[in-house]
Amino acid sequence: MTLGDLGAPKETRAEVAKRLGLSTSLAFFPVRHQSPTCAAKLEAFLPRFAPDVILVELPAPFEEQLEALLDPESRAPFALCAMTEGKSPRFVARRDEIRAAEAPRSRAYYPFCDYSPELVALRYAKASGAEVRFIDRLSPLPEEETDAGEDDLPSAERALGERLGQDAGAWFGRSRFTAALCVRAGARDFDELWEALFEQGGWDETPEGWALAVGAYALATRRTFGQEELEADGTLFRERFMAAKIAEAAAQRGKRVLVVAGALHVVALGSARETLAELRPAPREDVDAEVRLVPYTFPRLDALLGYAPGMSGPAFYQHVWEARAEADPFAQAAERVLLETIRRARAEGDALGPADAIAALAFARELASLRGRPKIGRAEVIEAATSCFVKGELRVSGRRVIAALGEALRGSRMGKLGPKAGPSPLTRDFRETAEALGLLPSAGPPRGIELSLATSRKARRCSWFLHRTAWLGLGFATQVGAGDAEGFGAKGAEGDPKPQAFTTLEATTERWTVAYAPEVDARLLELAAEGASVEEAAARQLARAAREGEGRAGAIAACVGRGVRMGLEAICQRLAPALKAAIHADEDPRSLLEAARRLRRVRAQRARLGLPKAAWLDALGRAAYEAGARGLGRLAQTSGARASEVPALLMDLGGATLADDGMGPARELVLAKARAAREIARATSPLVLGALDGLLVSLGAGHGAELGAHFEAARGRPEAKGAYLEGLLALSPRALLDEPSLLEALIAHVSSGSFEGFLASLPSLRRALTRLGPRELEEISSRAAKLLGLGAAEARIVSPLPPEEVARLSAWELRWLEAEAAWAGSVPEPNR
Amino acid sequence: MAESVLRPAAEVLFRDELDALAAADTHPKPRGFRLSPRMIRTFILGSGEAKLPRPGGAGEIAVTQKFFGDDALVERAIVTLASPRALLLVGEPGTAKSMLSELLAAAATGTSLLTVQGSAATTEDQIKYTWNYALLLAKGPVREALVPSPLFAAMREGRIARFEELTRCPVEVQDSLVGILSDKVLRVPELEGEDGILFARAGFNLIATANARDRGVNEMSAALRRRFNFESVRPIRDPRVEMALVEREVQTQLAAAGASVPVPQDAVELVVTTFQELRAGRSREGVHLDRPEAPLSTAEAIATLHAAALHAHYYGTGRLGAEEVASHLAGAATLDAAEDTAKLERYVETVVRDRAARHGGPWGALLEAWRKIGRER
Repeated sequence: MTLGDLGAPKETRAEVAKRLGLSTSLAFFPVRHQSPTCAAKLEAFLPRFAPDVILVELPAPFEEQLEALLDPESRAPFALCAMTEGKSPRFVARRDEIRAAEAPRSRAYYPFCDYSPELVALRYAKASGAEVRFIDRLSPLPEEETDAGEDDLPSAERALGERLGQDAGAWFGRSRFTAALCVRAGARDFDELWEALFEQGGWDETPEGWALAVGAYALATRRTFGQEELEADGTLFRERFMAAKIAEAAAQRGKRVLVVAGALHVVALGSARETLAELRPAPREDVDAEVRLVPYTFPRLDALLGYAPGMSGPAFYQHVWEARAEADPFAQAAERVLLETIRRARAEGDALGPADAIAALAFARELASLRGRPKIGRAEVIEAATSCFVKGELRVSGRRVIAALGEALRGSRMGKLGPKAGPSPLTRDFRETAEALGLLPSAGPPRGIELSLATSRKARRCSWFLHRTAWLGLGFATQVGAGDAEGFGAKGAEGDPKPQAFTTLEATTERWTVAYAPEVDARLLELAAEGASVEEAAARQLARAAREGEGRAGAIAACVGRGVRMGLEAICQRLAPALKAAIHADEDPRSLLEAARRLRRVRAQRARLGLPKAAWLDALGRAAYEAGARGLGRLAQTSGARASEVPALLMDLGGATLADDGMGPARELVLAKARAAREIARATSPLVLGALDGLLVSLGAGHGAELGAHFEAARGRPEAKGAYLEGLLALSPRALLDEPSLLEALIAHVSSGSFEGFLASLPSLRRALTRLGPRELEEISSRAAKLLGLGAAEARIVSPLPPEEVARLSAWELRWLEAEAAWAGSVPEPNR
Repeated sequence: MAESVLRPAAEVLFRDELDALAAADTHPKPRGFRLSPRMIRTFILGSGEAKLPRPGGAGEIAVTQKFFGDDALVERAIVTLASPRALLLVGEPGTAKSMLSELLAAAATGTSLLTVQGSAATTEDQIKYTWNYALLLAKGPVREALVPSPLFAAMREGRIARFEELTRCPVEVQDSLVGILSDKVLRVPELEGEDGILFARAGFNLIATANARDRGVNEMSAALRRRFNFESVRPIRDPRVEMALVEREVQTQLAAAGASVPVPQDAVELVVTTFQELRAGRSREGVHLDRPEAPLSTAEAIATLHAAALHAHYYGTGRLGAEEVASHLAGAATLDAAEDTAKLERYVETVVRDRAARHGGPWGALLEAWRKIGRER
């Protein structure tokens, strides 16, 4: 399908030509905001039209940033960022509602890349000396217009930009006309249709032909919407303002004026050209916004969330733009993306080579031809790469290729600002916030800070800020006795099943040291493209970390925990759907139970800080526990080193089940699944079997005779008995006291088994018994002594013993020492 | 022939459509192809409301849609066939891989019958060629004693060969395809001179299918995998599309069987919804479900409803009701693993029970029928 296939009647084309007036002194050029074909057509049109004045659809207050925008030392992508305090500015770009410590701030971004038609027009104006005016408003949008944000965990498809079949969300995407055209063109969504018609399909058109076709499409689309919809959306409100600004410029006699604006607007504004003279001057906008130019990145641009009407795959379109002087820039861009995909996939271990690139390029060309598209588009590149490079199920074998393709399409380019843009908003925000919180130290040794979170709001704000700076790696703040990755308390010893996190969590006092060094500024500079504030940059990096969790519930839950520590409740709530989806999709019970455990800790932390109960958190925790409980069978298959993680997970599961606090799973579910899992664990790991038995005992459903039998049956390896006991006692420390058959079995193993067997089981038996407290040990000793026929006093003092016992124990001891020395690598002296 | 055989080949069943498409085809064709890629696409995805003139001026014909759910997949498959690489369709059982392969072969090079059926017992001879041993003994290794395999025939005639269930074959047997797909040449060392080498003619290619539940494609050698473009065929996601397809196919099959049983929309919805939700492991209300081992594909939904309708026709009242559906649902769910019955049971006792309580109607009838069957068991 090409432009000619639009099927616009001759009258419509004539009407559009009249409205655009491309050969009159007031011309309207329709644009899509990040479109290489549009930018190329405009670039060709500008010198031919030679405007004296260029009016661009950008908020009028942004004019103050014109010099910074056109700084020759700046490198796209960059974005104009409008920041307001306590109110919501309307803006075309994404908006982040940040729940800061006090006043809510709102930020909106308007990104530019080299192939932004507006930037092309501005650069032309600078070169030709044409006057530039911005003609749009900066006014509030309805709340529901907030974009989701780049960091809302794009799935693998999303990472590919493979949004095919989804609604683009903008006016074009929502129109019935577009839906009908999609069916005719075999396009799966608006983006694919746009590309087929106006990018690949429009490249060979003249600028005027392209503008007319886009105008016809826009007019037909606009006619499918009622005035009420356009009014409610604020479109008409903005257009009245734009019309008044155009009227001001058009009033200058003898000047050639070019309006560069969205296609939907120009077809409406062009129709009012006769009445422009009657309009009153545009009112001054009374919006208290701070506008800054900030570096931007291709990944943010790709997510389409910087600016809804833009297109994803910025690296692909950048290649198109850079090859615009060539005969087929789309083929060149496809080739570059495919080669880059191969390069990246090879680095990850995929066996792909130049032959695959050749095959894929030919494939993409044929696919475009089959679809009646004159050039290769993004969709064809994606499909060619997945068909030719992925050797197996897309979601299984194709992970590396998909990731590589996503990267190649997206690119990693980061914008750079020239000196005219001044210090970055992030640097300013860091300094202002640190100063306001009294955290900015003078040069000198690190300063210690103690924060009592439960009692002081300011301490809490300080804590959030410090956690954010630590998370961003600014090198500014270090938590004393910092805990695990989410900052939950001090780390326990290696392998310690009772992490000290809970202990530290209970004490809501944090200790930090802060120190300022020039490296802080350097790091802030690196992070400039991440956001306009420390809070925003931390939120973005957090969401990215969650995305990199690749759907693993444990990893995403860790991010939620971290987010709570950083006071980023909003981003945590935005992660909730992704976490929910991950809980449903994650089939790894370890990950699920880990996620549940982390969420429970988050809940406890919030409670200690006096924060209100969060239903979403409870629901997620419950879902994770239940999914984890359903996966106990799989967990029971764990063996080897990973089995050592199981008791801690089950301990938490048991605790949550007994707590009955709305987050734990149903007891019946846990019991049923644990019983079934036990059958599997018999054949895999005595440690896991013991832990499952311990779970059942702790939930009041264990049977004494079973425990003794399981202990006796643990024979596969020498350490099996100790491992079973270790697992059991981790969850049910009183099992040796409460279940006589177990103690009897233990005594029998120790006293009547082979020495080698005992020796081999000793390390794990010792580990198991460390689970017991002194009182429990004492009681067990006395019971064991009784069973061995010893007195209570003899239980703790081995001697005096019958001579034959002493001889036997001495012989054991000697052999034990020999064995220990052998383990240590030295040969014992023979007569020692 | 179409009327006299149980299941005619696609090129026979749709001969009129193929002839009309060939007559109307003005687009460029890959060498050796009967139809252009665009017309192959139309053959498989249908011509919509457009009709084509029948050759000979005998009216017009609409091309029916034969494959549903993923138009882009069909396009990619066609492009692969026109390229030097072979096509491997991978997917769960019942996702119409074989049907798509048959349609592609019939439309591209005129026959879908040059097929090797892969199995654990497949040998290299069956893939390449074997001998008429009587002639071999009488005349020695001569051309006329050679018995060509379907693949051999496809190479000789410039057609598309099909290889069903490729991954069920031993890996070393699969690897006999490497040279053929790489060089497009098959050597017959027993024959001398020109007879000893077969160069594939233009149009030759191979469509293989692999069942995702069999031994995985990862067990294929890397050398062979490189010769294929892989396409994953997935169950139809859109319930409306799947329901329409199931209804149409069941009615067609019932008509062919001479059973005049109406297929109520409710019955189709019950089966398709149940299968879709169990496949996804989640109900539309968000209830987490255990996924059965059975594939519960569209083909399985058709088979389930078809069997239920025949049951009603031969043993029941001639009306397809919830009881027949419930009874055959249980059968479908126990195809692969006995524990699937428990999963279906849980689905009924949670999702179906909840819907029955809220909405009654067909879900209520299904619940009642299920419980009745349970009591009788």
